[in-house]
Amino acid sequence: MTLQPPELIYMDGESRCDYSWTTGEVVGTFLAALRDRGKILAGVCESCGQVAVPPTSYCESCGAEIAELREVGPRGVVMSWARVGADLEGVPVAAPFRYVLVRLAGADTELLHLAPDDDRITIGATVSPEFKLQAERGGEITDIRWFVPDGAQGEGS
Amino acid sequence: MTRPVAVIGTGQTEYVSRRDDKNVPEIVREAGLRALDDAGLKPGDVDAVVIGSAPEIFEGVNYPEDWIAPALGLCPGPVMRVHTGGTVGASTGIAGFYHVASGMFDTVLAVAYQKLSDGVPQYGLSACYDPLWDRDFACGAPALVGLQSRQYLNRHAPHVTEEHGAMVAVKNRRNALANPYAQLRREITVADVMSSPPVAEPLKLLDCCPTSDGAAAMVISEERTARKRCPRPAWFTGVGTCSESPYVPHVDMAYPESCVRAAQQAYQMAWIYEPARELDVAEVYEAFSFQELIWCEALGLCGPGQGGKLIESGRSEMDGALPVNASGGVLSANPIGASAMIRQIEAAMQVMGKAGDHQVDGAHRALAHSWGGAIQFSTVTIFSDEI
Amino acid sequence: MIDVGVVGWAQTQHGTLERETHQSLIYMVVNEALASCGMSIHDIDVVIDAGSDFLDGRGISTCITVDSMGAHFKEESKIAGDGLLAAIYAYMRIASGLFGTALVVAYGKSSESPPRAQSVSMTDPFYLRPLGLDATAAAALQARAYGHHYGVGNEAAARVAVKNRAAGALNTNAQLRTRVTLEQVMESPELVSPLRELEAAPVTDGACALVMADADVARSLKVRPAWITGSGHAMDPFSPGAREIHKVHSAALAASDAYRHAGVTDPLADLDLLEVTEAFAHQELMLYEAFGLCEEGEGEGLLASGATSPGGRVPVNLSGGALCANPVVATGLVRLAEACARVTDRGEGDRIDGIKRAMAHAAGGLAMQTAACMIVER
Repeated sequence: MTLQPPELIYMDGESRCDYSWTTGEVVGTFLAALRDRGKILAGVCESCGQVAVPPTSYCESCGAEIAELREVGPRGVVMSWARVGADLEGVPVAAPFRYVLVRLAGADTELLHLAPDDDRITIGATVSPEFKLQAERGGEITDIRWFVPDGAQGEGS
Repeated sequence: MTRPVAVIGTGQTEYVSRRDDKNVPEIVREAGLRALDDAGLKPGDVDAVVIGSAPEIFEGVNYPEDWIAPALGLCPGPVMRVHTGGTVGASTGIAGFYHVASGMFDTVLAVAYQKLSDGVPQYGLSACYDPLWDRDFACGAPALVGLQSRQYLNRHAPHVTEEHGAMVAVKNRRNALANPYAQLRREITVADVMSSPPVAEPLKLLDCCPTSDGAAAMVISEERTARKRCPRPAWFTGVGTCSESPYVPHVDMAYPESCVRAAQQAYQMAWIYEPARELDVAEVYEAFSFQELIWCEALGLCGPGQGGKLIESGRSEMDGALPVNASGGVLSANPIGASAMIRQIEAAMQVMGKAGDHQVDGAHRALAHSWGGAIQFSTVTIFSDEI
Repeated sequence: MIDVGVVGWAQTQHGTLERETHQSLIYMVVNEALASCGMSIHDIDVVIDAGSDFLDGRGISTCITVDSMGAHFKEESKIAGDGLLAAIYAYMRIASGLFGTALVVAYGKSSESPPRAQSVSMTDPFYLRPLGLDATAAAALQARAYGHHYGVGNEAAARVAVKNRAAGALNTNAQLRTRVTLEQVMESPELVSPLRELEAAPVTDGACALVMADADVARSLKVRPAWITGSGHAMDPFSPGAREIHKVHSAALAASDAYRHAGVTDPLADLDLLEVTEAFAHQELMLYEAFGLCEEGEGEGLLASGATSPGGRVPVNLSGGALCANPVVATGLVRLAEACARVTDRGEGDRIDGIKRAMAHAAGGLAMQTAACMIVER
């Protein structure tokens, strides 16, 4: 038996929930350093020595504990970038903008973050973090507004 | 014909309503490393990981295994996630069993977790209901189990009463005092339970489990490693799972067919003919007090409708012939995704002789049970100290 | 490995399936898969399924799919990943000796929710979620890193799209069944640079089911089974910046386990077909390298040589791949079904001689963090 409804029937709904995620000590310390000191910290693996940013309390590469947190950057090299042309929900900056993978000075892994849509953002370019004003920071990865190319500091967002 | 497989190490985190100190991957790591340590192994000694948790909406991360498994120290390596609702912790242990029984892997780390405090647990539970039919009416798990409990009590009245449910809660909360991992470690009385605020009739507050953050892990291995590493491995001798159609009218919640069948499967595999006599200890997933009696009946640990007599008789007490929930059960700790694995771990620990202050003497065969969904998923795992 | 055969399979005609629900899609493929090997649901010992709560807008998707997949009163377990992982788990169930037959089911209806939501929700809450990163952006970063590292221009990925769309045009189950030209691909709207619309998989609804059996049952059936001779699955670190994102380490690891089981030492020679999950065209080039079909960075050359085209030494994605139909969760299982059809000559498409051994691949996570592979043979 085939039923042929006169029209397609859709039911609209939403599934969303509020969260309050526990960060844990390492992530918490990293976020606090962004907020309070405008510094970027990396985790140093006690076994393989990998310096990872952003840090987790365990080394993603070898599984050992992180021995310490160490300041890295602030400048870094762009290892990849991708341009977004249309506004995307959930992104804190308006389009056009770029995603970047940045190898900060002293780090072995890349930080994934945002950048302006600036043709100076190329692979190999040096960038620096542009922090929000202290009063605007909340202890989030977006306390860094984005990474800007050398020479672009202070050009505004 | 099937390769012998055993649990050779277990690990748990202390269950609390909120872990403020660690994020989700870190809690999982804590349990995983404890299990490895218990087995005398390092992360590199394990061939694969199986990870399980209940609906992703609880923590709000989709495909959470991608984020979490690297914390176990095995990346890069084989990782698989299982998700079967409330039974997931046990399905994870069972998947770990099949990883090894198949011959594909020799040593596997199975981990199950939940961090309910990161989200809104009842919202997540309500999302389990079908958006087309039930969700508008849903109010989480207590509603459904209230229906189940009422059906059970009505069917067997006057032989089973609300007081019998209260007696289960009293027993398990007392047992929890001897379990360092349990969240709720304060004795209660039948009067306390009966006078506690109503939640979903006949369930009162003290008939209900808490919500918890926590993780549990098992190291599962084949025979050679088990005999080398572990003085008394907990051998998987019976494994059964069964699912059934969800729509409430089809399910006999007071005597679930999926539970009966899962048990039959496990007993058959374990050559157990009279479970009430041949088992030494049982861990059943009693998220709500009456469920312990319902599961005991469906598992054949007592006759149908005999749940009230069972709890009255003292048989299921720590000093009884078949202690049920020596750990304090789910009523004492409920990190949902982990709870079913905790039942397996507690059962395994009993036959391994590692249950500490809540060890049941002479525990050679232990049963672990779990349920999930709209009373539609069941698992039964049997551990023995010999094969 | 224990002898386990894939004896039956079915997939939906993928697309925007507005008149179908999850249950109707599942019911359809399960019945067709059983019919394809002359079995009934009562012959099935265990059901292993794959589904995504987030995609379905549910908590515990199996709550309402369990009956349409025939799992009522059966052993059943759900893998929360791609259907190919479910197939690997089903294999384990049979290989344990405790089950003779298994049904594997995977499904997804991506049209029912905002496409980005499925991947944005995969990000961790602390470092990636606040940036709104999705699968396309992650793949874009990977594509550019790959192109830069090996000096591969954008055209190479576009040529993959041309190849696969041409193959999809011959696949009655595919969602996209029109060929595209190189110009069309390279001029299609930019998604997240350098990725273009025609280099990305479509938004697809679909389902797939397979039946597996142990050797005794498989040999008793009147159909030719596809024997499972190897499998592997692997996960790389989560943080995109903690991986060498210009390579697919997870796929290399998964394949190496599968190769070891199957006795594959020279993939280009030993495999007759690959069905890979290339949600973005450039990923297929990376997978050629990860699977050892060519050296690092030589994927473009391999493609240009025609080796991976129909009629080539080792065709890749004769089905059209994910670029022609991407029923998320089912995509990898569809690759396996396609591989099985080819090695047994039981497919509906034009017969291609000499395909005896094929590998199916599924990718998961952002920028192919995870991989699963299975090798099947006649």
